[in-house]
Amino acid sequence: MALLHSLLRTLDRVSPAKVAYAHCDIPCGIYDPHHAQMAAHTVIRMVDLIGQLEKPAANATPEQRQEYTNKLARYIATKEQHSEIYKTELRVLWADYFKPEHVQQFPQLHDLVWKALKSASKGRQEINLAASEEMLRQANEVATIFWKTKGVPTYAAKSPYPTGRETVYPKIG
Amino acid sequence: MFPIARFRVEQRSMSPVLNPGDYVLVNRWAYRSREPAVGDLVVFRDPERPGVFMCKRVARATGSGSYVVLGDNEALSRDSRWFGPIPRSLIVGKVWRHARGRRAPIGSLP
Repeated sequence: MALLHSLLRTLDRVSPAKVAYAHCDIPCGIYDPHHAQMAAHTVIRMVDLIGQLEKPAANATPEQRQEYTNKLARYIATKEQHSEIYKTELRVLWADYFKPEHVQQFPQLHDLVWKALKSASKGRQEINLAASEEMLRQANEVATIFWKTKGVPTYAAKSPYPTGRETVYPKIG
Repeated sequence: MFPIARFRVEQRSMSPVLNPGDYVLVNRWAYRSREPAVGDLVVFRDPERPGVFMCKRVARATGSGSYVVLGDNEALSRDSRWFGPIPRSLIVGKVWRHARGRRAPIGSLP
């Protein structure tokens, strides 16, 4: 079937095929920037934990090295996953939630999301506290805009997590 | 009217059978001599959006010339549960051949 696919792809360049959607974009109206903020906290925490992890000494046993590697691998895997969650969540807000009138009201939105995605790539690639803090700061900015479009006031407070960084919350109720 | 139409698949409601980037060839004459059958993969016109085509599986016939079409991946599917049964006139045809594209890895770098 690979041959048929190549053939059709070539044909597609000459005369594009119509698209048949196997649709999944149910406009459910349920959005929240909190996921992105949480993901940024997780990335910060993983950078902290990696920093605190004691490196094996020169005379460490194979078991000690293995334990170190295991912990490091788990922290990195979590950092990878949550950087990706951060990007996915921001893309969903950006592409699905925000409407042209929101961009008119907040012209910095496109640039903000774009830079936040860049920070997330950096936070993912490197062990970089500044980049992960930038992720949170940018997610907070998106959250501020998001809640403004909903007419919900916000406040900034220290998070109750071990990361403790300032986080924007909606004032609901 | 040429009997075969080409479509490129987008979105994931028919995953894992059909995935984004796959192509399907649709037989537009498939239902000249018979009715759509349960289990058939069909391409049809979106009842809510003019000019948009969708690809789903026939789940049952309602008896009045309409068909319930559902995505295989129910959690991710906008289908008859959303817009109700579709009239037969919206069905373009039955998927006759399917060409798989290369799979994009999940969570690719970076």
